[in-house]
Amino acid sequence: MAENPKISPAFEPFLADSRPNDKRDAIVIYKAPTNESMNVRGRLRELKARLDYVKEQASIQQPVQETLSDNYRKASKSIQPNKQFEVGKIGSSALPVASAEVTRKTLTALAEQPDVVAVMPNQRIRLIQPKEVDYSALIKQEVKDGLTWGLKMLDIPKMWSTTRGEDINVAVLDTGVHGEHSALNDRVKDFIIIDPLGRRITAKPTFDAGQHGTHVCGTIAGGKTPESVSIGVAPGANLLVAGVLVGDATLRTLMEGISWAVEKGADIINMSLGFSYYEPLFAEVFDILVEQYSILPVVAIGNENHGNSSSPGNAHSAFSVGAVEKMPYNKTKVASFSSGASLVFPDQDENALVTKPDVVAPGAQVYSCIPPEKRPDGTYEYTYMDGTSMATPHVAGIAALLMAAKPAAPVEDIISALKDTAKHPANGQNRPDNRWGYGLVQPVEALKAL
Amino acid sequence: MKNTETKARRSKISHEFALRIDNLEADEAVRAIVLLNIRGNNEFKGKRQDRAQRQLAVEGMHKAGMDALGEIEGILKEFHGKLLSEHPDALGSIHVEATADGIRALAESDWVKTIFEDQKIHPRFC
Repeated sequence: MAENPKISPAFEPFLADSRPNDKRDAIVIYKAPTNESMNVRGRLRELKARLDYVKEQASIQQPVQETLSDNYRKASKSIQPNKQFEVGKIGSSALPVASAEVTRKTLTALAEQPDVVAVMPNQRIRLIQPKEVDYSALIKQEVKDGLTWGLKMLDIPKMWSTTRGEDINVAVLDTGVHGEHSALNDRVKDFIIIDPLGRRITAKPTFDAGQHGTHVCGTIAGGKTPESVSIGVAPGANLLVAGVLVGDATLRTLMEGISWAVEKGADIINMSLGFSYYEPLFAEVFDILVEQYSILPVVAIGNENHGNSSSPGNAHSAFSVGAVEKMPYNKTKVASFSSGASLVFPDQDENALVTKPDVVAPGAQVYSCIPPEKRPDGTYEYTYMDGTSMATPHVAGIAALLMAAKPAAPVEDIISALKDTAKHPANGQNRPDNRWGYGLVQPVEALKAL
Repeated sequence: MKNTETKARRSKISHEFALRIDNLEADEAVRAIVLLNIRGNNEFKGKRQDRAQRQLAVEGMHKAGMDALGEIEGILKEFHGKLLSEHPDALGSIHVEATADGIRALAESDWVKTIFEDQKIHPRFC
């Protein structure tokens, strides 16, 4: 083990196994004076200012690096007189890091230089690839069942004996939709693109700027795949789709999309989206939708893991949805990525404690439609996706079924029925919590409660 | 004017947005959504609406919002800001561009319920 704490423990195999003259590339971090001409915590947004700063910092660091190189050359010469060891630049020297070649003995000499902070072996880096999931068993089961695991878990076919969501308008504010998909046959009743300037642009045929919107639409109102797997919760519901996540989307785009959905007669608005930072006052918008227009907004809580939540799903009046994943023996657990947290406002009389999510629904390994995607082995029109984005349309679809079955039920009653009948592992005790909220939605029970 | 949080401002602008405007230069403008303090047609409140009722409810919001525009425009003009929407939308919101002082002045108006920064949005899948 290296005695000098400046030498990275990652050198241990090299120190243990290498011969005295074996070389290894190293990265050296050294101390350099700070450039005080500019407050680095201030604004570095202007490119020119940033470049000037980098140049100045590099000029400050250069003499330090040259001294370091000279000292290392001299020290290593006394150890290995026949070889020359130097410290080299990395990039423009904007950072106080340099490259060096070391042997077992010169490594110690390099680390002993007073300006050296740390020496690490150079090593290969790699992309962190998404984990490959084997869906073959799940596909087989879903084909056998004739429906996705989420629809099965929620007992959706039982609801279809009462209604399939006919005449209920579900607005989807997302990346758009590939409305010509066979699974969405005639379900998309209206479509608009909201550009980053907030302008409404009519586009025919419909299109999806990604895959997200089409996948979400499929979970709400999709029909069957060619293998006869039902993917949509409310296959009779109408979809009103606004492409608000196209290009550099901002809150303005979303507000315009919400306003469009209101004008078009939406009963439910699905928002599988999030903001960049916390905005609790968006609760006012949800209040207007529920109180003034009797519209149910359903919002994803986010994929930032337990202990976190994000806007707009964490606004006190949001009806927010977390994700559960399928486990063996017909069980579910809250997906590790699914956000959940409580926010505390001690100076407020109302909503002093906001606990999110409100409910959870299937949001991992969710099979739904996508715009046709050409891959080396063929064209794909369906795929699995994970996220609270996928859990949210399950709840929007369930709300459509409940609204169709109970046309006079106020939105507040539908929200209460979904929360009250949700199934929590603690059997109704100690809920809501930050993982399950009130629990996994139970549409059949919610319908009975209305 | 910086860092002087009145009660009205505190409740109409989120803490994060307030911090962000406190860090703006005096002449730097920010785009924001102003939610107007208006109420539409109360006749349909709490009731599921058919298409015709929805249109009446939307018109009620538009009409109520137009009454507020004069004062909002006046405030914006005073602080070298501008209105970016022609009229309030169905939610009673308008899009504006204003300096930090302009945003603070808007927050003092009785016509204003809330102000949000026009921040970025993104989808929620893994």
